[in-house]
This record gives sequence, C-alpha cells and structure tokens, in this order.
Amino acid sequence: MSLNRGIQPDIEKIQSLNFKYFEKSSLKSGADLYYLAGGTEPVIKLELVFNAGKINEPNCSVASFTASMMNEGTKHKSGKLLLDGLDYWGAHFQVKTFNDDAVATLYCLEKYLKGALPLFIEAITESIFPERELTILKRNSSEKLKLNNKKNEYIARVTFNECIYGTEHPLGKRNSAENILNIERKDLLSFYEGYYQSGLKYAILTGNFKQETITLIENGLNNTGLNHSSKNSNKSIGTIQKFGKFQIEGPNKTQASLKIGKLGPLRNDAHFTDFQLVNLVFGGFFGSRLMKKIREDLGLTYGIHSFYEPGKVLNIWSIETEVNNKNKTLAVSEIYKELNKILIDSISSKEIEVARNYLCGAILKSLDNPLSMSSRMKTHIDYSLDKNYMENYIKEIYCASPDSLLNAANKYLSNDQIIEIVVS
Amino acid sequence: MIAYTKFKLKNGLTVIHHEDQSTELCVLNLLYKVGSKNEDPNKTGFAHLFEHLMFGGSLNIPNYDEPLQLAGGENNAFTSNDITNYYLTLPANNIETGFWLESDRMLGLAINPKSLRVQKGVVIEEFKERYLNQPYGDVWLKLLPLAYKKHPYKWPTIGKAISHIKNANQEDVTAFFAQNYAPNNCILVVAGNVSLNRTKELCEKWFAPISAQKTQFNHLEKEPKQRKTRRKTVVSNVPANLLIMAFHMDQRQSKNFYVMDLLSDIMGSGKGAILYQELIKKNPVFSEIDAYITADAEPGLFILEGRMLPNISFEEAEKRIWEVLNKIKSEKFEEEVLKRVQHKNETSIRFGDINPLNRAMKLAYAEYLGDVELVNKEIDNYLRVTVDEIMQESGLVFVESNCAVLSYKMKENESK
Repeated sequence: MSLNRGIQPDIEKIQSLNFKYFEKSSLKSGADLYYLAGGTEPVIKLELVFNAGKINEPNCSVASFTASMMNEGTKHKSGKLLLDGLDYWGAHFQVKTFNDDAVATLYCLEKYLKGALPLFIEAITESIFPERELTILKRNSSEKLKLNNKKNEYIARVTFNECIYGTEHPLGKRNSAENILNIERKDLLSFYEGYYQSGLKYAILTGNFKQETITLIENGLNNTGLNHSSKNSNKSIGTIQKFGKFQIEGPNKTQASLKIGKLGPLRNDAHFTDFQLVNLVFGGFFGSRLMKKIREDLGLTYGIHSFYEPGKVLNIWSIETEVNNKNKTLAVSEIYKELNKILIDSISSKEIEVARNYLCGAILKSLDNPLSMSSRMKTHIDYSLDKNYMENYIKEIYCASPDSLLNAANKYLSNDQIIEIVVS
Repeated sequence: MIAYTKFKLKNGLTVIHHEDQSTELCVLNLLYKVGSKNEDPNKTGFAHLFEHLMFGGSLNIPNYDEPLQLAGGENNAFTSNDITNYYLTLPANNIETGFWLESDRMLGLAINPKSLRVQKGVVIEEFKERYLNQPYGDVWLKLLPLAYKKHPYKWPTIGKAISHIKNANQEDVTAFFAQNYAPNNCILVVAGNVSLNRTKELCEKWFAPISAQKTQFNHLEKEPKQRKTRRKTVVSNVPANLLIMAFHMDQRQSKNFYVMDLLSDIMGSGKGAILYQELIKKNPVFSEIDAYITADAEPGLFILEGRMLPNISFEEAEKRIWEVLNKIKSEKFEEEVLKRVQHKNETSIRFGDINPLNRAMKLAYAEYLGDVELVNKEIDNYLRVTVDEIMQESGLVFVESNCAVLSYKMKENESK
C-alpha cells in the first residue's frame, strides 16, 4: 500500500489528566509543607515561599537585594564557607523575588539532603547581610542598571509598569542609581525580619523522595525560628493608573521596542478560560495570529508575543515585540488590525481546536515533570483551588466556542484604556 | 542509567530508541550533522537560515506547526557551530504525527520565493536584534575571527554579515538542502512512552522510503597553533568596558575537555568561585566576571569575560586576571575545591535528566560525537579529573601566546 503523506495520522484528544493531587503536613510554625513525589531521577526540590514580594518593599531593590544577599553569610559562617559547604553536597539554592512573594529554592540529590539541608536553613534563617558585601552589591547593581538603561526593551517595560501601577506603587516605581546608593543595611534587616523571619507562607517539596525525607525536612523546618504568615499585602489599586500612547526616545535609535497592554480578567472571572484561549490564538504561542502576521507573513520581527498574567494586585494582558525603527508604525498598525479583527470576527472552530489541543498538550507537559509540578501546586495553593480544578479546567477548555471567545475578547480587549509604549 | 537501543535503517538513518514508561509524552529529536562550520566562507549563516526554512512547509504538508499543535505538541530547533537540531514533544498517543511531519521535511522542502524572502527577513531581524543592536551584542562577531584564523569556527552561527543572508537565493538553498538534509546525515532519537516495536514500525513506515543522498562532507581546515597574543580593541556605545580573553583548548572528545570544564566552574561559577572572590570581592576590578568553555565538538575556547568597574584600565584588568591564572598554574589547590564542582556537576546532570527531551538530545549529541554510551559515562568522566591534571592542563592552555584579547571599550563621552 502506498503511503499517503498528505494526510495527518489520526490523533487522540486529551480528555483527562493523570493529575496526582499533592499532600500536606503542618509545621510547628503553623505553615504547611505540601509535597508530591514523582519522576525517576533521585533529585529533590524544596521551596520555601515567603511574604517577601516586591509588593512589600519600602523602596526599589530592597526585596531583590535582601533575596540575593541571603547567601552572604550567617552569624556562624561566612558566605564563602556556606556556599562551599553546599557545593560539597552538590546542592545549590537561590532566592527569587516575584511581585507577590519570594521563593527560596534548594536543589539537591536526595542522598545529600542530610548534609545540605541544615546549611540551606541556616542561610535562610540566620542571614546577617554584611556591610561589605552590600557595598559590592550596590556597586554592581548600579553598573547593571546603567546597562539596562541602554536597552529600549527595559525602558519600555519600566514605563509600562509606571502606567499600570503608578509611580509610587512598589510595582510601578522606577529604580535609579541614587536609590541604589541610598539603600542601607538596616533596610534589608528590617525587610528580612518582617517578611522572611516572620513571613513563611508555606513550603513545597517535589522530586523523587522517600517518606523519611519528608520527616527530615519537617524536623529541619520545625527547629527554626521562622514564623508563619498568611496575611496578604493590601496594596490593591483596583485598576490601571494611566493609559494612552507614549512615544519615548530610547538609547537605541535603530531598533524599536513595543509594549501594548491593558487590564485582563481576574482568575475567578467567568471569562477566565475563554480569555486564555483568546490570548493564545492572538499572540500566546508560536502558531498565534501575531506570529503568523508580523513574523511569518511580513517578516518584521524575530518574535512577537502576547501575555496574560493574572496576579494578586492586577491582571495584566500585554503584547511585546522589537522591530526595526523604520517599521515601527507599520508594526503598530498591523497589531491594531489584528486586535480589531479578533473583536469583530468569530475565531473559527478550527483555530480554536488548534489552540485548545496545544494548550492541553502544554498542561500535560507541565504535569509530567516532577519539578514543574511545583509551579502548578503553587497556583493551587495561592488561589485555594480545589482538588477537581484541573479536571474542570480541561472541561471548560473543551466548552469554548467561537461565541464565548468573541464575548471574552470584547469584554477585555476593546480599544479603550489601552497603554501603548514605543521606545525608539 | 539511560537505557537505549540503537539501530540503522537501510538508507543510513541512525535511530536511537529510549523508552520511559513513567511519562505520558514522547519526544522526537532529529540531529542533522550540519552546522555553521560546514558553510561556504562566502555564504555564512546558511545552516541557521535553514533552521528557519524548515518550518515553512514541506513537500506534502503546507504548514508544519499547525498539525503538530493540533496533536497537542510543541517543537523547536537550534543551530550550533556543529549541528542543527530539531525536536518535538507530543502526548505519547499522538507520536505518529511527529513521524509524519519530520519524515516529510526530510523528504523535501517546499521553499518558494515568498517563504525564502520572509524567513530571510526574520533572520535579518534576529541578526539586528540580538547581535547588532544590543550593548555588547557583536562580541562574538569580533572575538571569533580574532581567535580562529583558519577553522570555520571563525564565524558565528548567525553568519559573518547580514549581506550573506540577504544574498541567499533559491539555488543556494536547494543545494544546501540536498547536501545536508538526508537520512544518512541524520540521527533520530525516539524517546518516552513508546515501545521499541512501535518505534521500528513507524521508522519503517515513514523514514525507510526516503532515499540516501550523496552528502558532501567538506574538509574542515585545522586551526594552526597560535604563536603569539592577538589583540583587538573595539569602541562602542556601551556603559562599561568589557574585557574578554579567549584561550584555545582541547576537543570535546578528549579527557582535557572535562578538566577544563571543571576548571571553568571552579573559576567562574557563583559567588564562591575564584574569580568572584578575587576580582569582585577582595580587590574589585570587575562588576561581573565569568569563565566558561564554548564546548564545541572540535577544539574550542576557554573564555574569561568581565565587565570592568569605572576607572580601571584594560592593562590593570588583564594583569589581575593573569595573576589568578598564574596562581592556578603554580599553586596546588585543595582536593575539596575540586570535589565541590564535581558534586555540583553530578547534581546538574541528574536534574537535566529529569526531562525525556533532555535525555533525547543528550543521546543524539553523544552519538554525533561518536559514542552514544557517553550519556552514561559523563558523570564518571568528571569524577575522574584530578587536581594535578587541572594544574598541568592550565599550564598548557593559559599561556600568553595562546590568548586572544578583545578590549571592548566604551566611547569617551560615556565615562562621564
């Protein structure tokens, strides 16, 4: 029988997920340890989630400085000694600051956890933020800021955040060399005490581990002075602060950075899933309309994407791209053309099917990896989603129709209250 | 241990099967043995341009991405000096769509004037966005021709110049495809929740009918030994001076590769590393500094790269780096320093192996290097390195006559 290469082999839909729900145990502080074992490699990832997000910082860089200095030494050990010790066990940790929280993550082979865990805990709970290292960090950060200020893309992002949150909000404030210079050790110490030592929200353990590893971690965390905090910061602003079109002169005259965006729906909005699909079709993956039009059809850019990021303060939807300066007007007008199209014409069933199957595949992929599972768990915990959430979510994805997507698009993507930043 | 079965089709396609029943996914990884080193010096950037053209539709399938997305899959590709690597991940049940797509584009591409024009445009935008209009973006365009005089590693994968991409025409592209995209020039890895029998059956069905091609393996010119220090100064609109020192080192398939890889970790990886401790903390010269190797298949480079603090001269910065290098060459460091990077390395290899896609890529690359079993030997290869070997090899590598120094200088008015 001859082979017909013109026809795609039969495909199966992803209807259900093999989503193992995680378990939890309570720590002495009142915080919970959530865990889920999986995978074949003998690795583990332990995350401690703190109330130490950018949202709580009194001034620019305080949150990120505190996080990045957590490996600079404790009352008993210099930073070098601490890091050498962790290296010896093949382990490493990092503390990352996000808008809403901060996460300290330990990566380790299970066989070495006994050696690495006490060092990790010591670093996180007994940091001293030495003056000398702070000076180095300040110096290097100002150098980094100088470099960022040479990039149109950075200017576009900072300006966009100013519009969204306002220039006085922690998420909208613009950093400056002067601000960095003025940061003092006591700023970090007080942030550390308030949002780390008294700010443990919960812990997540993933990877391939045995029961005794859970006990080891429980004991380790119970023997610290970390206090549990469940309070959320109260810096809500309701809506975006400023909108309009802004042409900004940037440091780079040949390349233009574009950022266009507006407020998106809340996570518990009835249009949430439909809106995710609209975003996907519009600019959320490689097969999106923006990629097809602006990159594949017109060849104007190397990449163009739209993002929908539901957060605790605001839910932002935005488009980002870089084009040659001489093409910026064309690119902006083509983006609006696509935007108008999605408001007027229903998305075809075929296009929805592609986006839907792609999304289901991506979810399957995210649940397949024991380490990426933890970010799925985190969303569940942060937004108190129930056990059946994933199954229901998949069902909702399959309920999407041209009409429901058109409604979601019109509710959230109309041309009003849009922020458009062009830095060139 | 990564278990695998290797077999070859009659048309020369090498297939490596790696089953993992713990995942619900499957992976297809196709490594074509063509990279920028195989390009004509007057037509550089082709291997990478081709990576883009491979998504423009094939003989029987007008659009590559859509059917894959319809099957719940994702894909991407990369081009290096040595290879062009394509990979896709699918729900295991839909694996056949992967075979269908990949075999059709091995069979033939549907390159038309429009897709060629558009992809050239996209690549030119990439060239501008990433290599020309970024502070320090053209570092590789300047450094490689300084470090290599003969070997084709002297140009980066993006190409020597935009004009090479602009001038690419339909005939060039067709010829490049015929020469390089053939079953006998490819390694296919099928990994994930798929049995060996099913893999064999699908290979027979989709790949076996594609005929072998006469591939032209161009002879690569060997890089002659460097005899004296090479220097170049570039002046550009950047916020700080950047110093790069590049040393020639041994090839990927040698013991010394592991020696120098570990040394780059001892020197450059994190705040505990030598360069940070010596040149950022104790006596500050740089705001950022790193050591790394290019990790190419053929003899590559050991690179030291640092952004300098204001008011530090290039002479001073270079002198201080030499002090560190000379110390490594002459003073034996403690065993434990080595143990630490060896253990760190083991962890990072294990973490990498979590993902079936990573395992598939590793298998393909090890086979390309000539020994697929390397995937299971790497940890030991790193663990076997000794302090003496590091001292000995750095004595041979870190000599002035083996060094290319690029001084990337900021414009005068920037220093104010």
